[in-house]
Amino acid sequence: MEAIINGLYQALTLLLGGDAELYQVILLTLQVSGTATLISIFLGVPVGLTLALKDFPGKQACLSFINFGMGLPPVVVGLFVSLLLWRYGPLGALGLMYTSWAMIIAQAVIASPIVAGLTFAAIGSLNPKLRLQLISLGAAWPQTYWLLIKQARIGLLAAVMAGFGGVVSEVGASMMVGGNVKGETRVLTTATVMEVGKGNYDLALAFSFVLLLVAYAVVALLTYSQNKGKGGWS
Amino acid sequence: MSSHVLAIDGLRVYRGGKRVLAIEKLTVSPGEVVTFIGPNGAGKSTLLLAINMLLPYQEGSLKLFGQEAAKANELALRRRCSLLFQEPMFLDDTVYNNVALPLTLRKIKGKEAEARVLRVLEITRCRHLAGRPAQRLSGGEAQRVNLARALVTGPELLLLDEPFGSLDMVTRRSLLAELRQILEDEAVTAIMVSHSMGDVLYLSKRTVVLQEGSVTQDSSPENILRRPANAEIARISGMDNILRCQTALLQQETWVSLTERIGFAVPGAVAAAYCCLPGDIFRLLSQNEMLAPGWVEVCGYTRHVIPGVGHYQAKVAIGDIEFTVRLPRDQAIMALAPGRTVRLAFHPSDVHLVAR
Amino acid sequence: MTRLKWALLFGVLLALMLAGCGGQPEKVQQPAKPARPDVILATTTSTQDSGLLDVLIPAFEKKTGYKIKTIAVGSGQAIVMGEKGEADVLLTHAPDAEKKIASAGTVVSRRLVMHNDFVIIGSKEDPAGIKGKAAKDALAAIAGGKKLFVSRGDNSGTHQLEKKLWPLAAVKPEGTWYQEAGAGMGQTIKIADEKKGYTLTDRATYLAQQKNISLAILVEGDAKLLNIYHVMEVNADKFAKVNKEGGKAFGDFLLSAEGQEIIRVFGKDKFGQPLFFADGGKTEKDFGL
Repeated sequence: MEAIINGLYQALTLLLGGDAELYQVILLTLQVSGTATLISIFLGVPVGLTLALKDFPGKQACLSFINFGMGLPPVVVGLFVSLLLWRYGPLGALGLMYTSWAMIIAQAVIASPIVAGLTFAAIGSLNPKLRLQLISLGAAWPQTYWLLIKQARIGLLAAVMAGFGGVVSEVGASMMVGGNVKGETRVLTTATVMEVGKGNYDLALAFSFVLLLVAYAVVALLTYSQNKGKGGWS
Repeated sequence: MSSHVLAIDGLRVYRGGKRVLAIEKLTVSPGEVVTFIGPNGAGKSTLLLAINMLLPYQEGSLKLFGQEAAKANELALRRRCSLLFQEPMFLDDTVYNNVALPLTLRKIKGKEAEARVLRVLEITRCRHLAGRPAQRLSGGEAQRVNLARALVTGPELLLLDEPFGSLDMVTRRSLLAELRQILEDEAVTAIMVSHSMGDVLYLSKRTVVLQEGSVTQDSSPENILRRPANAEIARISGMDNILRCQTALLQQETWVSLTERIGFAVPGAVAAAYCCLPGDIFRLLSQNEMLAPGWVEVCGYTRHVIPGVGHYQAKVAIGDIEFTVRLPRDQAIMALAPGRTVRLAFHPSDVHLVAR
Repeated sequence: MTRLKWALLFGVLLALMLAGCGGQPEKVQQPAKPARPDVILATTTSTQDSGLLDVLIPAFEKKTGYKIKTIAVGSGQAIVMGEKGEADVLLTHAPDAEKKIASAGTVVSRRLVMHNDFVIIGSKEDPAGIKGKAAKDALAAIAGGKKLFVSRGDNSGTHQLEKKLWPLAAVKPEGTWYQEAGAGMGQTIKIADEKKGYTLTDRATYLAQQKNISLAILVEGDAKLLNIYHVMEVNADKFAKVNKEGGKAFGDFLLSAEGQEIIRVFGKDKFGQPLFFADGGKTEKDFGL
């Protein structure tokens, strides 16, 4: 108990004191996971939309593949991305191993199926007649898709947040492909693991504390928008 | 041809390997209000979807404003029309923004858009709803807003799929009356599908009957009421008496027998399986009144009287058959007490015979 | 939410992403930037967990302009990375495995950098009574009494040394008293502490963890427990993608007067004793190995 209180005190001191290393790690975490989430939006949302709105042969197979991807173990993703990115791997020439881009790639691979799957669910929960009515009101297909996205925005926000939450708290793949290089691939989770190894529980707690704050902010934003959606719109 | 808003020729639509529409010839001229009526599953909604290019057709021709729908720019053509669905769907936004949506989609903005939205809200009497969330309207309000949204672009063709179908009778009738007025004032060409003859009578001067995907009658609503093309239409349009009958050819006329004891002759050779008798063709004969030449007399007793405004309805048992008879109030009160024997007469020329 | 708020949210995300794509702002290099600045150092966890690299690497980077990417794994995995050409320079403490890859030509210029020693730690009650014994006797006592021993179990340098010690004690480590953690040194010490077991650790990591645990050093000073660190450059003739210059520069720095001085003083202020002994210029023969 004393260790926890001391750790929290230390964590707050570091946070409020503007500890440069801590803030660098925080910033890097947000950059890496934010970029990975953005990529997963660009990949996952169109896939989820297409699956929800188009009929094509093999759709069921695609859906089960996405569902499977939603539960991909991050460590397995990390291993496969490592195999690809190693110097002597197929993409070794790009020199991405142990850079933040390697982490972004791994995290995007983890987050994209989550975003795609939840986008599919969000769009699928809209009344199918809405789409037909929008078309008959004279919406061109990009307009239709945009309006449907807007209509399902709370579900989509949840999808994005789930993707972000999934990758920001992930450690296996990040450690494997990023290597926890200081200032470059050291993020909140890998730093926490390292500081525990060093026996610096105060710093580890500070990182965990920030991670909790980020996770809480995600949940809070989600709850806020859901309540907003219930209260004012629908 | 090109002056028609809609021209259909040999149209065939298949869905899931099944033919759901087969319409040979059908045209709608500018300013016309045409209602389509038919039983459930007759292809009414399918036809609207095909006209709105939401459903492809496999054979024949469907021309909108003189352009073949399958070859034209769908979006441009669709934007000249409006389709009003039975169950309106709105974005979770205000009524104003929902009504403005079709304009936004067509990149019409600013003062012009505002003027148009306010105008349609005015004519649909929704002005007071403008700031309300569109997903929190009552059924009647929602349909008014739906109508406003359909009219805001000034469509050259308005398509209505069972509008107001989910509303109660009173609201529906008053909305239909308003709609009729708006269509007339705005000179909008409109096609409405409905399964209710009542709606049809309120709205249009021309009615097309669809049965199993094909047009079986294209006429005035009155004709469809009094002279339906077949027994099923007669049932849809609420024909009072649809009786099986037998026909026998005599020299220049045909003898129609409803029962062994009731029969009459009609001129020419007619093959009929059903005999339609609107309830208001009957005359009540007083006790000693002589039958006019050419009239047919039937005798029966009154089982039941349903009062009404304009006419009373009486169920009269004649032999094994129960006839529905409509009589003016004064006659009905005098003669139609339940259990009382009545003499009735009708003229064969008011009877409508159908082959099936 | 208003459109403005959405725009703001999106803007913030975009800014974060752009910042993520851009370079790190604090990367101001004084020396001329080498042609290939990134050097991958595969090393044992103890160099990182003890904190030594936190002072060595900034000094090296500042002096040469190279950027070291430390991949702290076990010595076993570090050597495998060298064998695959996935690292440029190795800093490990597993002499037998090192000699193997050196003779195979996987690495070149294997140089002794420093040493410290391994110690056997355990709870102060010392149920197996190993305090002050020689390493092999201590292990035999632990096995004989079936007292809990926590092994790294990850083929790291420490684990490799441990595996060399058991045969000397004439014990096959098996049974419920012998547990493999499969974790880094710091973690393994923590596990041993929680379970009041014995474990073999390098002194540096033990000292770094000392404040969090109640385990004490029970066996030390045995010549068998010497922990010798070598630096090796991965052979660029064998792996064309290896950063030959960078690896050599790091090795040279470790053995330079500056590097050796950093090692010599490291830990004195914090623990009252140095964690490593700088051995620049010595060879294994000097330790009688």
